[in-house]
Amino acid sequence: MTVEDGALAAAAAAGDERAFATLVERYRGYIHAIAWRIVLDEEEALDIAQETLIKLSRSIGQWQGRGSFRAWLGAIASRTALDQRRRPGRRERPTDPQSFPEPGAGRMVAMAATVRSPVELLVAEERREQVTAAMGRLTPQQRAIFQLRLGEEMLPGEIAERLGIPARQVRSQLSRAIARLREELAEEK
Amino acid sequence: MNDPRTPRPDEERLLKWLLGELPADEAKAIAHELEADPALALAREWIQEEAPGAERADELVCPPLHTGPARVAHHPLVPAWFWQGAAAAAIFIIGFGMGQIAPLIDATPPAPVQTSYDHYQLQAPVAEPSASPAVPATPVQPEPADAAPPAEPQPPASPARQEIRLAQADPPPRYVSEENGRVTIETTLAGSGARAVWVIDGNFRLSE
Repeated sequence: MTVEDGALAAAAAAGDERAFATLVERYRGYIHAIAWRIVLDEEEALDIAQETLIKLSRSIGQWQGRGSFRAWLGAIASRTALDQRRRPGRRERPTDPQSFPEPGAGRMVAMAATVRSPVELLVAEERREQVTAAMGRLTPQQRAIFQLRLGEEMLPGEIAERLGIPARQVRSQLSRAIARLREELAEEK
Repeated sequence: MNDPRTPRPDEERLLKWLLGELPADEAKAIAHELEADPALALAREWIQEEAPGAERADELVCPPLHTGPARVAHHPLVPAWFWQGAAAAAIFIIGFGMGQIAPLIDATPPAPVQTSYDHYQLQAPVAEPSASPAVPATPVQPEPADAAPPAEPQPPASPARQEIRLAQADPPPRYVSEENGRVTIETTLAGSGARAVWVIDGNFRLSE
């Protein structure tokens, strides 16, 4: 029987270490994925994911049971990743697509689920690389906003609140991100 | 040929959805339109796919749980260096002010406390050492306590050593001399009758 996130979070907030460990087990892959999509670097994504877990251990009591726990956690991970990028010595820039890791078989799970032939797999792989390259040309903040909007279906106002930026900035970044993405993908067709 | 940068009507609608500007009922019914938009569909797919190195997420350590009050990062409105500078300026201003005020305060030392010698009667004032030639000190014999004090003070026996006779009712009379700022008191101990000399020069010393 699977215990719901809300019940686990409430138990963890009351001091239940096992409930907290279950939540960590359930969401560590998700946290790492969110971090990677923002920074596009495996090692850095691991550091961010670990820092997010530490933040979660300290702020689990702030979970108020409203909305989705997964989205709440995703916002913490996104903000942690953006804070990491803003630290002194780092430069806000679109990630160089040439530095992306070579595609692995594990990454094709979602896109390959509906294709069967090797040719279709190759086409899907090529398409995935194009999308990754296009996403890599966005800024980390645009990717974070895009991820919370499309992945967690959070509204711009909520994204702004969770990331600590003005709602107007969220909307402008979303507009620019989708325009850029359409442009990039249209050019590569 | 359509310019890919010019949004089509459905794209404008999707953009409104993206920006959260569509009414709730329309927003719920837009899922199929998202799938029809290539850019949004691919972006959603990319967001949902597994990240590279996902297996390394198992390396993440579950931290100990802190169920106390959540620690909120404190970002002071004023940096620490401001307060340090303000403290230094305050010290300087206070010091400057005290420097201005100090000359106005009477710096003369307080008058010495007058010791009450109301049971003594000074009979011979102390003369200046340079006023008289050096003559050996001559002790003055004590007088009875009930003896009447002489009308005239005795002249100093020596400029370097002057003797002052004090008349005292009880205990027996004492003899006091002053030499180079040092006061010597001679007396007789009541019990043994031994002669005692008290020298006071800042440090008290008892000698026979």
